[in-house]
Formats: sequence, structure tokens, C-alpha cells
Amino acid sequence: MGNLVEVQDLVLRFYTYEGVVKALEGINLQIKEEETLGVVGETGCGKTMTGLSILGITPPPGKIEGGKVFFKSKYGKTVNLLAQNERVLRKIRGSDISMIFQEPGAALNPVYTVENQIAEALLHHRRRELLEKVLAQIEKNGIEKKIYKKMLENPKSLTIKVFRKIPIIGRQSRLKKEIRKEVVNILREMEIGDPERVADMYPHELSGGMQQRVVIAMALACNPTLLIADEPTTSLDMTVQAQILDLIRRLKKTFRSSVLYITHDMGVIAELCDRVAVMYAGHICEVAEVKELFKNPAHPYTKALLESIPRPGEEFKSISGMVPNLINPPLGCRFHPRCPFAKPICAEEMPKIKEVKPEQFVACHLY
Amino acid sequence: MSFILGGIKLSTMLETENLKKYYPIRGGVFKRKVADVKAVDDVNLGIIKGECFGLVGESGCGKTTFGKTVIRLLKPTAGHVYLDVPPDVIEQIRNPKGSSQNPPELQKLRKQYDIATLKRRKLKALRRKMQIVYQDPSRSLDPRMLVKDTVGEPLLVQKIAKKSEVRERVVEMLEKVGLGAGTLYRYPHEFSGGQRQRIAIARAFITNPEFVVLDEPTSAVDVSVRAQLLDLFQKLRKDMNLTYLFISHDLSVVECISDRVAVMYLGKVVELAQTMELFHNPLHPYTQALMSAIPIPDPTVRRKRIILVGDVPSPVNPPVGCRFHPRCSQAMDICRNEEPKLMDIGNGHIVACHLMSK
Repeated sequence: MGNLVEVQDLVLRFYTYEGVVKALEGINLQIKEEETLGVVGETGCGKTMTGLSILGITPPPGKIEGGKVFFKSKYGKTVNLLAQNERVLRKIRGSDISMIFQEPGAALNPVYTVENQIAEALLHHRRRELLEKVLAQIEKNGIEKKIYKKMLENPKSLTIKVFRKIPIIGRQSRLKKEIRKEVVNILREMEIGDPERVADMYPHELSGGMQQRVVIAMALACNPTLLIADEPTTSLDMTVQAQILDLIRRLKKTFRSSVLYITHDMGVIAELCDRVAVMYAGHICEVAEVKELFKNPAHPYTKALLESIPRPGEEFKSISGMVPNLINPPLGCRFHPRCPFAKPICAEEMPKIKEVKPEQFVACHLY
Repeated sequence: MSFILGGIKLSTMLETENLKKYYPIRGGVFKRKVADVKAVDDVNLGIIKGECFGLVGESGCGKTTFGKTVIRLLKPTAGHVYLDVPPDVIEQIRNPKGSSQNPPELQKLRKQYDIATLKRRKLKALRRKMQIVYQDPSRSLDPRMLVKDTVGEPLLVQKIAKKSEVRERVVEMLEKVGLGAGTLYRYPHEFSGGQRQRIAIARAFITNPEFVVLDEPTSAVDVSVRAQLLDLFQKLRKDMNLTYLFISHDLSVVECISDRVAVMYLGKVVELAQTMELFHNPLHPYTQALMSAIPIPDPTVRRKRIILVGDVPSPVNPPVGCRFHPRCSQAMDICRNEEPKLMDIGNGHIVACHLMSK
């Protein structure tokens, strides 16, 4: 299977008053087609920023200073996302790559109904397809057909603009009905009971789990090939988390898309992912198959992270020291001040990521 | 309730009797009460001296309300709370002499010992015995107070130490929680999440409490820091002879730190047992679903999941009968009509489910 996304030497820096925050330093990642890649690490290690960089929506004052993100789009063309202009990116976001955020309550707009919000994505990316469907429904060759044809060919023409302002026509438009049908279908796909009713609700009327389902519905409305999920279950309850994880697993199969799953929960990683990338302080320290990573973790940080999972009947083990400040990170390997196996070379030279076993990549001087 | 484990009778630190906490919903022109949110509904629990008692459940099930009510940060709607009351006094209150025709004496005893009715000065004196650590330290610490003031304030309020001694006591406490004297003149925002939680712990533990409510103390911090904090809690419990009420929705943490665990659903306790017993032999269908929802950090283990349908019903209008029956896969007719009672099935394992009485 080929690579869907290939991130090469990605560098992201934030220019703040206190100094330059080196948030990402030379990230290399591959996401294969139809796989789930987990990204795991502590708070502030750059997990979310990696996801945002792929979409090109890093928040200011962040600046992507170098690197390439190759993405194979739906039509088979491979493009470097970082070199594209905003117009091209807007076409890709939502239709080829979409994202689910941590707080479903914050990701939804409180003043629009669920239908409106999903329709926005549909109208933006699938207008043509929907209009063609509508045209196929109209048999008579009258004025109605003419209008829809015009909408399809020249949506910005004056006649269309004028027609849209007339309330009765707007409300009964066949396009609207078609969108409604599509929205209800998508909601049903998300295992929402009574989708007709939910489509007319506002986000505050829904529970956390339902909100997250709506957010996932928005993200999957245009069958993206890559879904970036940024801790989608962190703010949810354990039983609801199980529901959502199950949903993501099933949808991934039906939509045949790849998932980049960002989390700090090793348990979720073990349940959901095919491969895992472990991040620490803006670096990737280990990439491996999930079974291999849990069985034979190679990087000292991965080992420490796995050991810090509380297990009954055992003493609590934790990683001594603290996450370094990214304005002034330690020289050499960024983990060396906390590493029990640190050697003199670790403080001087940054280890390069290399393949120590087939499909297991580690950045450490021990290997 | 008395606890007999391994032939030794254990005295309780905290006991609640039919504890209820309702939040009124007001509506209409005159803001009359139209309904109640039944956050804690008729809970009877006993926490043994020196144990760590885990309380788990989904959000909105009343865990935090229970924790706040037992230390009288909230006034209970009904019921009684006894903290560190001698067992014979509790016995006297439960079974008053001369059958139940002894109201004045009973009233007197209750007035003296029941936290639910205590007033100002007595309550304040009791506050040094019971403390709480909140979930999010960045919100529970005053951003404009120095660490030395935050940690030292309880000493002054409770008049435990003189002003001149406060500094010494604060430094001692800070060292106990793993912070040095160098942190005295700093503000909370200068610390990381884990360190902030340590400050909150120092503030709670400086009065030498006997009973501490830990309200999800590790859910706002990272995995690696979580282990450090749990370790600290264990150490402090041993050093200071404490009793914990550990509230959490993270079952894997509760499994590691608690001696006994109670599961709450919609304001009621549905199951209570020793930690090992509860995690290996959960009997209530809700507990079983909760257990199966824990993601196991081992990719080679695949577990059959029980996935609950729907959401937790509203506590304003809980389902009639067993509160779990609309989501329960094994619901029977009796579940829809009759509320199951908590019953002991041996070994201190208590369950409220009709399946047990079949």
C-alpha cells in the first residue's frame, strides 16, 4: 500500500515575546492508505501541531519554517500541501482531509442547527453533485429546470442571486430538500437515533457524545481520505468513549479512509491503531507497529511512558524530571536530562531516526 | 453499619445515612420550585478509618456532589453525616434506647454529632479535620496569592499556628509534597500542572486532616505526572494516617489506589465491593459495562465489549424502577416497576440489582 501522506522534515516555530518556541523540529511521518496511525505524547509535545500543520491551519504566531507535506489527493495527484495557495487548500480541507477536535461543544457553532452546519460542508464541496441529482429529478423542461441548470453552470449570475432572495422559492427549493436527505443519511450513518429530529436541533440540546457524533458527521460528509482526530474522546465519559471508538473503527472501514489519531491515552492507542508514533518535545522518537511497540519498546521515553500506566498491585512508576521548555530545549537529544541510559554523546548530538528493525524506527543513540 | 473484616471490627471514619442532595429548578414568574435535580439520592455509605475509598461513575452521576456534601461544602437536603464519631454513639443514634420513643435525647445526640446540622463555630472547628483537593488546580488556586499565603492561610484561619510559625510549617509541608522552600514567593501561574496540584495538596494537608476528599485530582494532568501524584497520595496517607475518598471516572487509577470501590449511577450507589472483588467479579450490569469500556493498554488482548446504548437519563426525572433499566441488556419486568435494594451477597460485596435475587 502506498503512502497517503508523507511529512518530511517539518519545522514549526512560534515567535513569541519570550523567544522562539521550537514546537516541531524535523518531523518525518508517513501515513499509509487505509491505516490508523496513532500519535502519542505528553501535553505540549507537538501532537496537535503536527495535525494542524498537515491541514495548513497552524495558529499565529506559528510559522512553518521548512519541510514538505506530500498528500495524494482523491484524484491520484500528489501535491505538496505546504506549497499550495489558500484556494487550493480550501478545496482539500473538508473534502480530502478533515479534522475532529477535542471539545465537540467548542467545535460546533451554537447559533446554527445541526442540519445547517453539516449542509455547509456539503454545499462547499459537493454542490455540483447535489445539483446534478436535483436536475435528474425534474422531468418537465420548464423554467425550473432552467434555473437549476443555470445554478450549476454559473452560480454567481444575477438571476440566481435575485431568485434566492425570494423567500418562498428559497424554502421550497429542491436543492434544500436534497441536502436535507443527505444530512439525515449521514446522521443515520453515525448511529444517531431519530436523525430527522436531531437535524433540527441546536448543539446545546445534545449531549457530549451526540455532539461528537455530529462533529464526526460533519467531518465525514464529503468522504475524506484522511481523517485527523485530535483527542476526540478526552472530554467524554468512559462508556461514551467506547461508543465513539467503536464508531470510528466502523466508519474507517466503510469509508476506506486513513485516520491520524492524536491522543495521550495508551489504552486507546492499543485498541484502535495499526501503527504508533511517539512524540517528545517536538521530535518523533519512535514509530512502530502497535504490537511491536507495546511488546518491545525501543526508545527509553517509550519505555518510561508505558511504565507510567498505573497497574494494580504494582508501584507507581513515573518519569523523573520535567518536560523541557521548548524556547530553550536541551542540546542533543531532548530527552537526555530525564533519560536513565544517557551517554555523553546524547548531550551533544541530536540522534537521527533510523530503522532498527523492519518497520520500527527509533531516534536514539543507543541503537 | 459495622464492618467486620477478617474477624476484626473496624471503626468507620465517615458514615452517611440516607443522604440526599437535590438542586431545585426554579421557573415561572415567581421563581417557584418546579422540579429537583436529584444529584445524590438516598446514599448510605461507610468509609473505614485509614482506607482509600474509591467512588466511580460517569459525569453527572453525583460523585462530586456526594464528596462536597459529606464535608458540608453543600448543605444536604436530607439525611445525616457522621465524621469520626465513636461507634457506640452511632449505635445509640441508630437504635435509641427504649425503642424509638426517645426523640429529645436522639435530637440532642444528632445535634452534637451530625455534620448535616452543625452550625458555624462547631463546623469551622471540624473543618480542619476534613479537606478537599479539587480537579483543576489552575482554577482552585487564587492566581493573585503567593504560594506561601495560599498554603499558610488554613493555619491562620484555623488558628493552628502563630504568624511567626507559619513560614516554618509551610516550608515543612511544601517539602513533604516535593516542592522546596524556593517556591514560597512565587505565583501559581509560574508552575506546571503537576506542581500546581502539589500546591493544592499542600494547602489541603497542612491542617493535619483526618479525612480528605480527592475530587478527580489526576484528571487534569499528564500520564507521567499522574503516576507521581498517585505515588505522593499513597505516601502521605501512610505518613499522616489519612482516610481518602477518591472520586474519579478513571477506573484504572481507582483500581490501583483504592481499597474499596463504590459505583454510582444517577445519584445512587449500585455496587460496592473490595477493589479486587469488584474489578474481577462485577455483578451489576452497569459495572460490567463500565469495566468493559476501559481501554486495555495491550494490543494483543481483545476483549468483548459491552457497549451501552444511549446516554445517561436526566437526574431530574430518573426512570421508574431500577434507574439503569432503559440501558440494561438484561432488564426484566420487575426492573421497570420496582427499585432494587442494596443487598449484601457476602464478603462485603453489595449490589443493587434484581438479577441477584433471582
